[in-house]
Amino acid sequence: MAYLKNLENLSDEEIVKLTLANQENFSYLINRYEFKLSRYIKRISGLNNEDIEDLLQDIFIKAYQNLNNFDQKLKFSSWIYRIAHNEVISQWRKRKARPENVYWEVDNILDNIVADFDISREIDRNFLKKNLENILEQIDIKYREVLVLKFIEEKNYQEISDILKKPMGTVATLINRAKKQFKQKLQEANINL
Amino acid sequence: MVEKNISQEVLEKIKGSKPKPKWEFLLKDYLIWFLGFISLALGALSFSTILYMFFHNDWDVYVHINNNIFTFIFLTLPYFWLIFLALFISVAQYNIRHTKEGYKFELHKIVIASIAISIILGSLLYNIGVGQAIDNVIATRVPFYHKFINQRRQIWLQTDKGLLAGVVVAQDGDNFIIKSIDGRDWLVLTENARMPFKPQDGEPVRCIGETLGDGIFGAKEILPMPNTPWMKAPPMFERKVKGIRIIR
Repeated sequence: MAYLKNLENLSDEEIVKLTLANQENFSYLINRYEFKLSRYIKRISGLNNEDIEDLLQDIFIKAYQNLNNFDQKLKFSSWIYRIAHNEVISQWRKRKARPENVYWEVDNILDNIVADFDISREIDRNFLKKNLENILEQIDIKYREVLVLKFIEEKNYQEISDILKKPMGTVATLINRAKKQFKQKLQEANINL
Repeated sequence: MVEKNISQEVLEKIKGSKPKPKWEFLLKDYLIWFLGFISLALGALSFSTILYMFFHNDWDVYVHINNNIFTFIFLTLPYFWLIFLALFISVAQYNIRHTKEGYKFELHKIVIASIAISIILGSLLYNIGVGQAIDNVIATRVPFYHKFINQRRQIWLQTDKGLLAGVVVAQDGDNFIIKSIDGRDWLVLTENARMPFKPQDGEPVRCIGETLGDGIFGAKEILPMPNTPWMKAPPMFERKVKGIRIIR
């Protein structure tokens, strides 16, 4: 029992090392990331719960198989989000379709977006809350994904760079463009009302 | 949101299996780096050959080949080697980007670094004669090299335009006989020629002038053609050119 308690206090990277010695320890990593990854996948892929569960299994199996390739210079979270991102992309390729109806928890992201996008003075907050989901769905996938990572998963630039395997400069550009597109869609929606 | 016990299901599925061994990933990484280095090295070799072809072009007599310097450059650009250079730089940057940390670098920075390495290494190789060696080795071994890659041979076979090059095989007073690049024997008359040097037997020369008849060339200018070991005179024991019997 004390051993289990100790494991829970260990970092992801330490559990990785222990998993390489004993497969059972992998369950701690699964438990830590099961919910986070399923939420992330739902936000960027629009898959139903059943498909997400299948995909999650694939992600964890792939992570286990490639555990020796985990680079200790990275955060484990960035590494497993990267695997999730790649699996979602490969799902899109298999289905030859990109997501249409994605899932957003508007309340959670509203504050982040309003604070960072400097739009609180321009747009009524209630209006934003009502239309946020619709606006986010209209944004290009490549921009939507960085918005999810930055404002919903609350990852920093370095982590987003490691997850998407893009240089930090490119991540910054993508986020700026995503913001511009978001503001543009927001203004269009405001005008159309 | 997640109803199944994913942890249990995953553990059941991976039961008995082991993560892929570390050496597999290391091998892949090393292979990517190795291919990247090889591509950079080949790019540098291409660049050293480009430098050699550039500096050993016929700049001194370009007006006889084409009046317009830009047309002359266009005619004599080493396209094949430039394409090779671009190809190797592309392969190198692809490999560097696919190394473990390659994604951290902007594409243009990787491309600029690959070009810079090829140029620096290529210049060093040129300085120690590697560019010349490549040009000569390929010229003697690849039949189509001068047709498609190094146009110099084609240029100096245009006797109708007054351009002829070959190796001096015999001398007859002031005149001499050369074996042209395509293997024909020519009697070169030098009576009206500007000749800043005295060609020796076995020496490659460039002649500018006009064709006076079958196998007879009236030279107005005769220049050496250095750094062309591929233009070697064939062994000769006896030859007969336009009635002159030459015994060596």
